[in-house]
Amino acid sequence: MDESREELLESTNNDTEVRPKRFRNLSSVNAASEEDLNSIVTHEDDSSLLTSLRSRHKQTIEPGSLNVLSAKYESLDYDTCENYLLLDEERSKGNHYFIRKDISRWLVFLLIGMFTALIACVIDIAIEELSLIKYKSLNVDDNIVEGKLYIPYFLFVLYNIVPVLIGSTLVAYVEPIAAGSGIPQVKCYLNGVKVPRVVRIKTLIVKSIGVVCSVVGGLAGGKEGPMIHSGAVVAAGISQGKSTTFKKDFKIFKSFREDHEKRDFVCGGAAAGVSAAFGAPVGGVLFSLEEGSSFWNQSLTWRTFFASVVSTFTLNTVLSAYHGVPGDLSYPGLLNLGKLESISYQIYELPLFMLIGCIGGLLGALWNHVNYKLSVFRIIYLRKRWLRVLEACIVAAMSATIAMLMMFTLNDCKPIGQDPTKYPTQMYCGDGQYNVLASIWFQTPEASVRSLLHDPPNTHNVASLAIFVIFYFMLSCWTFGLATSNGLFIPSLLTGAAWGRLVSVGLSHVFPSITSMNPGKYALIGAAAQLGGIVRMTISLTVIIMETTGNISFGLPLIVTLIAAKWTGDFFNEGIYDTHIQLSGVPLLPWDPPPMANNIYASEVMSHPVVTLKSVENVGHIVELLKLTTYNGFPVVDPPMSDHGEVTTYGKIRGLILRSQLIVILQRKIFNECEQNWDEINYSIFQDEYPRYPTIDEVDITDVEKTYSIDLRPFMNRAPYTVSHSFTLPRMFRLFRALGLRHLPIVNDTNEVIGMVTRKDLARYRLWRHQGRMGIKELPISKDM
Amino acid sequence: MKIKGNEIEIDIFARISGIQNDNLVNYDNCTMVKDAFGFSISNFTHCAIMNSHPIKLCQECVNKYIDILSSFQNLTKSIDKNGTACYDQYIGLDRLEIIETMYIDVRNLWNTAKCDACFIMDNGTLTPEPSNKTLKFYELYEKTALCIKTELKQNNTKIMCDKCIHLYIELNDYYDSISNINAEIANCMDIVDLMNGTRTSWSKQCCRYRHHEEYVFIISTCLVLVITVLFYSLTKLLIDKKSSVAISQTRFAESLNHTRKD
Repeated sequence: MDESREELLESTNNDTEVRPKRFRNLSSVNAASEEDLNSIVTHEDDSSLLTSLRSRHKQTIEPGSLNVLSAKYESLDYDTCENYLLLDEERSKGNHYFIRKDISRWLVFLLIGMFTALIACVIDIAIEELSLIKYKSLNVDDNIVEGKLYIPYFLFVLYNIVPVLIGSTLVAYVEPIAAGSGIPQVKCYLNGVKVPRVVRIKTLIVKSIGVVCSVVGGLAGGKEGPMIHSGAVVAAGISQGKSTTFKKDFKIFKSFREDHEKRDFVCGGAAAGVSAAFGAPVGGVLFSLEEGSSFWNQSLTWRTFFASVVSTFTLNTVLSAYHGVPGDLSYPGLLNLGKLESISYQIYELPLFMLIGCIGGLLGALWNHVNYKLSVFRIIYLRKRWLRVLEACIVAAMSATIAMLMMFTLNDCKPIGQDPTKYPTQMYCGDGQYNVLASIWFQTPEASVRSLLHDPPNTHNVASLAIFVIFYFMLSCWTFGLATSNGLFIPSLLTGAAWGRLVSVGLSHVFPSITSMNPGKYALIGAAAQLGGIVRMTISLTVIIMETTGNISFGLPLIVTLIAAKWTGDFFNEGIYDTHIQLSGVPLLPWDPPPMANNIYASEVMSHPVVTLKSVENVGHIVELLKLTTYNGFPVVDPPMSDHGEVTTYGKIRGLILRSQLIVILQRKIFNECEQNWDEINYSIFQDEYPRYPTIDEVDITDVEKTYSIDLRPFMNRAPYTVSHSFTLPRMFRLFRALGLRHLPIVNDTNEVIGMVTRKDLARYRLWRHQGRMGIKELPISKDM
Repeated sequence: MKIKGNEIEIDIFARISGIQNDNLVNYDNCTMVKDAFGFSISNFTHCAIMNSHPIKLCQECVNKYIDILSSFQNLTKSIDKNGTACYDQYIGLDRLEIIETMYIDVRNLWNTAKCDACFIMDNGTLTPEPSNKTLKFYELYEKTALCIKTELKQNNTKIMCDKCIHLYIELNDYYDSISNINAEIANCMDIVDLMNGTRTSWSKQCCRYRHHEEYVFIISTCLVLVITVLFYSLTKLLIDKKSSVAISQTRFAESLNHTRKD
């Protein structure tokens, strides 16, 4: 794709006289060259309705701006292309075909659940075994007696840096899309944006190794977020029955090779990932619905639920065998907060929960802001890959340093045996005691969250908790966005649980008479508030926490807390996932169109001169067109009645054909003049190439063939959705989002194509709010992001 | 003295009845069995409270605990001369279940203290003989305690710490080897309590010698901090910003003119 763009730039540079003609328009939005930008092609005010012009003056974009769209993102084709071939095939297939398709669909969901869980098991077991080796070999206590604390310190730093170096090198050099938690990317994919390389097997491998490396490397991150991405990749891979990376086609599941089916599977995969990560099948389904699918689909939801349950069951079976109790089934998820069955709450505590929610919202907004600033810094200054790797190593070293300094300075001792610690470290405590901070740092963060939720009152020293909260808050904020694969669920929960416990200590000082101040309960509420303040999820987060703690009756307090956290946070900024999506300029379509957009009409939104094709088109013209533009959809029109050069006329719409289809047709040389190629034409010629079509430069067309012609009618989508130019923006938006469209041709009163609306045209209208005022602004589109 | 008499009486009865019936023991009167149980409970309770601090529950009260076990056994298995089981006369009659509750409480106390771990178990039944591990631990403890005592009498703390440390470490290591550190109570409670006390007093007197001047550690942490600050400030100074240019979009002429005028 990039190569073709470069060539495109050259061609536009050579030929600055590109004028809109009937079949040769101004080059596409994505193809603008520097020269074009300098000379704004405007016409005088007396220009007729029919001319088009460049909309913007030269506008520079500061890197790290939230209000830019990137030109590199394309849409997925959720709308199935209904052409003759497809209809023919559907008609010829009987009942058996549909039954088989349905059964294989269920089979795929079963496989998705199982494989996602198996990957989760491998990651979990690898992390557990490696951290066991790591923390065992530190041997703090033997060295401390001899006054050689620097030996375990250097070892700790080394053990942190080496895995992180491996992980971040993989991420930075092999597959940058595998960085972070992957939830924003999956969210974009489910929204209908084709995020390049997001569901490839390479991404999955890098992600899995990266997660193990970063958690073993002691970074303040969890393995839960990446599980969701892994589930999505597994789903996208299994459902296709082939691997483009390994050049292997298993010749199965051919009918699922289209964006529409694939999206449904990815939806199930993401749910299976959540379910494996948290042992929360219902939470997984709700996560997919909340973040992903544009409308409620009963049968898809049911299948998604099936995949989730299979996933948690498989994980449970494998992990219980690993822990030596096969068949016990008490390990439903990677994160297990432990059952909190006994907690109850009083009615007067609800306002307190709301208050904690507000604190969580404030802290979350602060976290997001700091992380945003850091991300901008990374975008501007840390563009080089080796710098990203170096940064990750520095953070790993700092994590070890902060941990060691905390243990060294805060001598918080507890007798051994109060709560299970795998590596009780004595430091400067008396014999038979262990250092509380060492036990928090020398175990996986999941175990720390669990002990904060379940430990009896007065287990933790207030001062050490407070210092821990401050440093862990900063550390987790610093870690998210590094070139490593790790999520933010666990660090947020840990920070929140720690300050939640502090709140309960404070409350019991203020109201000593109230006995129901269970610190574990407040730790849970604090954890929910902190996480809710950062990610701003509502339904799915509530259910996930309810399921991991096994407490249904605690739903109302959680909802109250999360709503308070979300509203407080939303007052200041957006959720961290949305911030990162905006930073990368993804044209994400939100649930609702921007308000106050009712006075914007289709004729203003659309790209004006549309590149159209005739029903029977010359091969050379198509090749030239594909090379010159980056458009992905071309309306097929009847030739206009008159063909005068001066007067721009439009053709009546007959259908819509996609770039990928044209390329397949050219590749197979299905020309009117080559009859022998017409024999074995069916719908599967498009499915075989999916999802990676060759670029136009890879298609070899001889000069003779350029004089041939193609009949587009059997291949084009004969009934594309079109709207009239008088439609308002919200109406188009709803149609576009609900149906998952990619191209929406705009027609005039006589059904002639006058414009085209794509995702970016709709996504660029965004609401701004500032100091009580609001309005609609139009975002610029940048090529360099 | 009366208690003693009762015990003997029960023993005799038990022997006689053992010949007659394997499962059920015959008594003239179930009241006697009940009384015996009551006495054993009160005996044990008194003993437990007497030995609550420092905890010597297991070693001091083991015989009384065995009494309770056997007398409850008697109660559940005996029949009076009318042929009705004593069990039916006292147990399972009301919601309070005094006898059973008392019995369960005692057993809970014993089990929570993990006292069984101190003694030899013979086929699942408790015997009053201390186990080898217990004997070895007490032997090591006596040595250490003696050392500390004698050294403290003659010398100051520092010398005591140096002289007794090998004994203490031996005791400590042996304790660690026989106990499970992840359990709430690692071992038989008598041993745990004794060890906790020893450790606390030892740590108070000798553990300040754990502290050393950790210059290398402190300097290296500072170094990492400096590297971090340097990394970010250098990248900010040395790498120049790159701003991009928005690309233009083609639109319908009329609408753009319209919006520009606004």
